[in-house]
Amino acid sequence: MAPPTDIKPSALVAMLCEQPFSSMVVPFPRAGFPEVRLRTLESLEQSQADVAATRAVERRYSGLKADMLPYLAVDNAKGNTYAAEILARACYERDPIPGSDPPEYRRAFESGEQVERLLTAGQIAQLMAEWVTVQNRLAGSEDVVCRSEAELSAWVERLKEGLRCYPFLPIDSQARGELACMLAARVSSVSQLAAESTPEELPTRLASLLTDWGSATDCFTGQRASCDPSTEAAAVRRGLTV
Amino acid sequence: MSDPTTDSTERSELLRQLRESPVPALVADFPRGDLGGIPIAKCRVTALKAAAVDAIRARVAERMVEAGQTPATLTYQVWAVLYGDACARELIAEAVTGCRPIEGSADAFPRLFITGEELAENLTPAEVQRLLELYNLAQLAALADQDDATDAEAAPEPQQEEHGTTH
Repeated sequence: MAPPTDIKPSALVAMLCEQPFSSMVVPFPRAGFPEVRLRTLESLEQSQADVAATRAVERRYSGLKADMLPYLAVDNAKGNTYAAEILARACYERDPIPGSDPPEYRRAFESGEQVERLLTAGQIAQLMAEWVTVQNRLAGSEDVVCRSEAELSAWVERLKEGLRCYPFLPIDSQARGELACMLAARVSSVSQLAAESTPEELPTRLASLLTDWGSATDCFTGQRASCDPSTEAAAVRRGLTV
Repeated sequence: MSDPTTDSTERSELLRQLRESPVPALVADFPRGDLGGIPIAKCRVTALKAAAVDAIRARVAERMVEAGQTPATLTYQVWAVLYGDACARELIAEAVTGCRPIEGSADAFPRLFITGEELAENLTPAEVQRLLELYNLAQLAALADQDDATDAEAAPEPQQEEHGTTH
């Protein structure tokens, strides 16, 4: 699958790095209802949905012998239930809970059983199709994303292009910390030099620059900036909204 | 990945709207002029919730096993056809109702057929097929804007909405 062309490269990178999960907002399959946010699921979560659906089907067909279940599964008896379990895990409200930082989202449904009780089979099928699209776009596994060398190259090029907007993103947190310390040391040296000099001794532009730094230089004498990835992710999100 | 949901006591807006919105339904011409001598011009076809469809499948499967109709006793193809037909008949029996609410109730509609067998005894295969088509249209109405569906009828959600039935 080629990288999506309707999403800007920088936005694609931001979506892939989004916290607490990669997600896309899609319309609910009925007019007048609020949009929903569909998040990507990890394979463990998909397996959990599969297990939950299997147990639900076994409960539903408890009066039948186990050898009947494969036939019923072929007949799609499990299809709705599996899709409902997936949607219960992947479907969230579009907007984060007010005041949450980092953003937290409220689940749209409490359980797969609830999804089946409230939605028609058609609505489940349509939402499930949307989820598959989101999953393939933002959490595609190797066999989906890279079916050929050309597709792999296209993804690499697309992400390289997008990463230009986030130069610090590819650097690991330790290297980011070292970089921040190095920059802080340089600024501190310049500040110290300025403090030991009279304004007349400094070039005009440097004096002006140091005036601008004024309050900023204080942070270098304090604790090192946090390298918490979630803080960075929040910065990425803020960058997105600018 | 940790669950980012922290506030489970508050329900989502979508959940509230789904609980309060009417069950999508269509009012359409009944495929024959009468039923057992009683004239019927129109019928109401409700899009069943997935749980109701699943319950129908389970019920039909159990009934077939009780009748000794399993893939072990029939070929799979024959069993699958019988199972599919029985599910469709049960689904239509549950989804197709009269248009006027039951007296004393604003949101419960009388079923025209109590069971799938009763439906099969009273309608021809072509009429059953027509009702199945109407059911598929009702499903589409559940996806589309109710205002745009000219024959869509918004009815209050029945008490037993979680089972998708409109008895």
